Amino acid sequence: MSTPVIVRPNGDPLGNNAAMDGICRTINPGQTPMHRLSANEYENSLRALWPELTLELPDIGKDERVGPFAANVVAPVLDLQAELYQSSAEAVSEQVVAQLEEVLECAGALPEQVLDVEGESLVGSVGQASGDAWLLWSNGSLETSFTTPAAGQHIIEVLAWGSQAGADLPRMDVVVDNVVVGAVDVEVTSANPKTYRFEAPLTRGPHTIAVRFLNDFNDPANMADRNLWVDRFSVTSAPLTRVDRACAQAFVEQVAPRALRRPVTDAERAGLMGIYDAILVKYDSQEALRGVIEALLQSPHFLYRVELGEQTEQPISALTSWELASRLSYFYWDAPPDEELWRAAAAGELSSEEGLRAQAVRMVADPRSRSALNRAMLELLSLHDFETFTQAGAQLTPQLREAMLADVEAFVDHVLWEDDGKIATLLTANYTFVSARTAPLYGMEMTKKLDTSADKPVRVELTGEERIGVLTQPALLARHGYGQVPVHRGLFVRETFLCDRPNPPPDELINPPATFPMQSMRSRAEGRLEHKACGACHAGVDPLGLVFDPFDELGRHVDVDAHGTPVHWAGGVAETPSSDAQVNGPTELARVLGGSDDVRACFTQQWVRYALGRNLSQSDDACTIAMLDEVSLSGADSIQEIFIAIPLTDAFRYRRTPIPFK
Amino acid sequence: MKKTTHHFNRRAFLKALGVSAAAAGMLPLLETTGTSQGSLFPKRLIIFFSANGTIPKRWRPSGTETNWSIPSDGILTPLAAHKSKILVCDGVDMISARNGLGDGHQTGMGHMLTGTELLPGPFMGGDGGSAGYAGGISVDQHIANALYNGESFRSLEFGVQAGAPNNWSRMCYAGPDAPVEPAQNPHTAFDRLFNDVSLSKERAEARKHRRGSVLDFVSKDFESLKPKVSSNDYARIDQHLTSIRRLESNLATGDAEGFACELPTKGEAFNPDLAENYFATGRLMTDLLVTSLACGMTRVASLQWSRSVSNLALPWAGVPNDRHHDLSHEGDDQSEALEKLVKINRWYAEQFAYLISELEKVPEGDGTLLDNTLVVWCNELGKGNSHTRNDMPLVIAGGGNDAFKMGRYLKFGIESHNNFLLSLCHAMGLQDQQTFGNPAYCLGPISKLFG
Repeated sequence: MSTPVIVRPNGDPLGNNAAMDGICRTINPGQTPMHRLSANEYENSLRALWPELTLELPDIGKDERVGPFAANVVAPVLDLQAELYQSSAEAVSEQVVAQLEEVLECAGALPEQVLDVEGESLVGSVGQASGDAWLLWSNGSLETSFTTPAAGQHIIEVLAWGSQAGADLPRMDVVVDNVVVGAVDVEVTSANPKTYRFEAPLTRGPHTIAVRFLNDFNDPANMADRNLWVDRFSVTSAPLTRVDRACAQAFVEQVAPRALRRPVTDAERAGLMGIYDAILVKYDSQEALRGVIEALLQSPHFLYRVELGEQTEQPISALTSWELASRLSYFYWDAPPDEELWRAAAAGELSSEEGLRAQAVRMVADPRSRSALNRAMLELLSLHDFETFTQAGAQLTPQLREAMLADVEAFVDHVLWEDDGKIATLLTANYTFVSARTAPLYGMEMTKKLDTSADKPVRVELTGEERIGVLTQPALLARHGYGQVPVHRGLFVRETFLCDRPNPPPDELINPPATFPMQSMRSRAEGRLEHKACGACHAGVDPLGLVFDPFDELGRHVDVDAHGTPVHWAGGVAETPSSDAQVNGPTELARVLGGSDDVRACFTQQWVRYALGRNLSQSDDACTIAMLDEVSLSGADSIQEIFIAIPLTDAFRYRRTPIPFK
Repeated sequence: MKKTTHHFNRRAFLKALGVSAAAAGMLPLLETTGTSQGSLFPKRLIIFFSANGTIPKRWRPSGTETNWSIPSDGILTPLAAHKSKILVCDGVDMISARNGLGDGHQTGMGHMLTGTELLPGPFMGGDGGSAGYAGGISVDQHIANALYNGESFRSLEFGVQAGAPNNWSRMCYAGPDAPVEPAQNPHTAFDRLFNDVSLSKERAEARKHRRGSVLDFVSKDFESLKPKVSSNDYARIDQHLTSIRRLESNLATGDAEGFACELPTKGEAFNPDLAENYFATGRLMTDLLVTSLACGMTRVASLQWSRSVSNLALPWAGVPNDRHHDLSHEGDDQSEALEKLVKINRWYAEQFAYLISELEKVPEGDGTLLDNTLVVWCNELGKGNSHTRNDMPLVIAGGGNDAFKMGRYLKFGIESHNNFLLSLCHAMGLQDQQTFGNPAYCLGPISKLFG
């Protein structure tokens, strides 16, 4: 007899897991704050709007972090940030309208003739109209004025010929706004008039143009007379982008839904075209489109991931398909939804668990996940600021930092996407990635193993008890190898893999533990552990860090510290729910952590933190945690399965219906 | 640098009168609102920050209130030349910071200018019980709101490697949970202050026209979103809307006239986050700050060097290898570390002295910009290795139109930091202010400061 299947309020079967029965009968999404795009998300979202263009983007400010992950969820946008968004939007709009034909099919760029005048229709300073031309019979000029609608390179053409006499050819200058833009010797005569072509950069607005004859020659005795005939001249503007109102509407239809990441309402359409029309009263269509772009890029629906849910009377509401699509794509890709996700959202496929899972599976397998989640993994490992990390001193050069970071990225990439993708493997892999630049950090043996020309990290097998998995990567050891080293390294392991941060130091420490010159890190740690006020909290931290004591500030293995005191591996895991152990060295530690359910549960929660920008609550998120534990503690131990499981939780799919603010 | 008199409107530089440096100093000033005691110039406030506490016994001057001296090997030695223009305050206790969430550095940083408890926040994890941002407005922002008189900026915040926003790194607050981001890139900051100088009149006009339509749309967009979001998100959306409205109102305001100021030259861009650029960034930020005050662009500014738990090495201070926070946790009997900490803190005193000197170079009426500016140097801790927030090392400089009586060394027995913050309000002309921060820690202004 099979256990009856319980059905959740949303119709999903609950299965027969007794642990989930009690907590998952109701849906509880917890409290997820509205995200303002992180700097990276902002950049990716902008670039996705105009993938054809290579946009130059200004600095948009620094992100808050929830744990190790960038997430702007608390601080409001004050004056400076609002100005940054404004100036960024203006910088982008300028670049987009300058290349409008690249992004908007209906935008045509055609040159426009702004002046075309027959010589004989003007009156020169000397001479007379003569047939189809004006004849300049002595030094003088033929002038007129014109107006150009846009700044840029202009083409000036003059159809002219001369009558030749004396040693020189007739000399013609073309002058715009009293500046000579071209000077030629006119070698043709009335038998074969020629169009002379000049170019000049002109500003928008009114200009004067003059054709001048400068070297009159007259020898009546020999019937020799040098003159210049000007048949016609013209000015053509630089290619000028033309957008009519229908084309502007097409632009709105094309860009607005992508910018707001959902279909646009009629009111929004009207509002955007209202901006267009208001600017068009005084300025051209490009200026008007700039306004449309700037409004979209400063809209809350672009800058935030606005999640209002299906508008219902219920206390809990499902997110809309569009909101789910954005949650998925920013989780996996740090970027807005692609075409396929957009299609699935439009088809309503994301509202079922099945449809959501199908997209999650597709997206995790997409190369975009690989690069974005690798990057997130480096954030989890507190390496987001490693490129500017200088606390290990001058020997940690920018080049070395870059190489160390590349090793970790290669390692993480390999574990996640090439190897078996297990948390245990992340911690206990018996290989690492090393390049020529980082090999010396591993010692002579490694240097010998490596092809010294390797500028990219290559896989190298590890033997012995010194190094294992991610924890002994030189970048991690260096990142936390400053100051009171065991505290920093211990805190890193505890916060990252056990999701616990001890209480802060006491408010007023009356008698800090005594220290003395040349004191070893281990001795200092012992001082803290024995100290009445410090020991209780440091017990869970320092022993974890002391496991790595024989690694120096660059992550090199050493036998003695900087003062010559011998260092050793003894340490331990303490103050954990179920993983306490005495350990001797990183290999033992990694095996304890790699086999720990505490670590698996924490690792999963870290990724929910990444996906939602908040910490899980043991009370609100009990069902979400239980659903994820089922995946992470199943024995499959697959990181990719965790990525796929997160969107299926209550915390991801639902939200509390807001109580209107009064 | 070319010295000229400029008129600034709310961002747009209008025209340079082209007078010489000497003439600029003698020009009568036109705009006189918000001034006091006969000065034609407004009062200004600058907050100056350096981190990790000091070595109190090496920070303290010796002597009595009026008969005092700064030791030649102390932390405040670089200020000896300015003795008549500074007020050293010893013994103010950050009583509020004994309460509420947060570790020593976090509470020190968050309470320093707000005098109130931190809110819960999501930064560290756990179940929401960890410390977040400050729970109230900071004194500089409060004063900025009160003194604001149509200048280009309500206040200007300059940060030197102040880091990403969190409760160790932010000291200025527009309100609860609303840290004010400091500008951290001198190049970008320059553009924010002076870029419009290079914009043609025609283009500036077009942009203004466009901005009008755009911001109208955007503020309506925020307006319609506001009632739909959760109460947690409401404050953020509301605050963002306020910022948009300020951008809108910026389009309409007129000129602040009559200030004589030098336009700095815009240097080459560099990465201000790199440790080796710390001093260069700080210098440029100081210069921009002084310029912005001299040009009448704002009345309130702050200069934040690094952040609490600053762990920079400071080769410029003669301490190239050890790091500030690491050193600050050495025991009291570690004389070598102690000397290095003295050097680091003395170096910050030099930066403070530089700021004072630069303010003093700007003539205003019969005096200088310094005479019309109250400069307050504060720290998030009293002493580094104990994390104490008692005996906060406070130094005030300048005049602020003679609100405080300068040239003294004040030693307090027990004096609440909130009283100090309230005193700043009074000194800046907000005499009706009854309390500041959490009123539980605020009894009234410290009368001794005023003379």
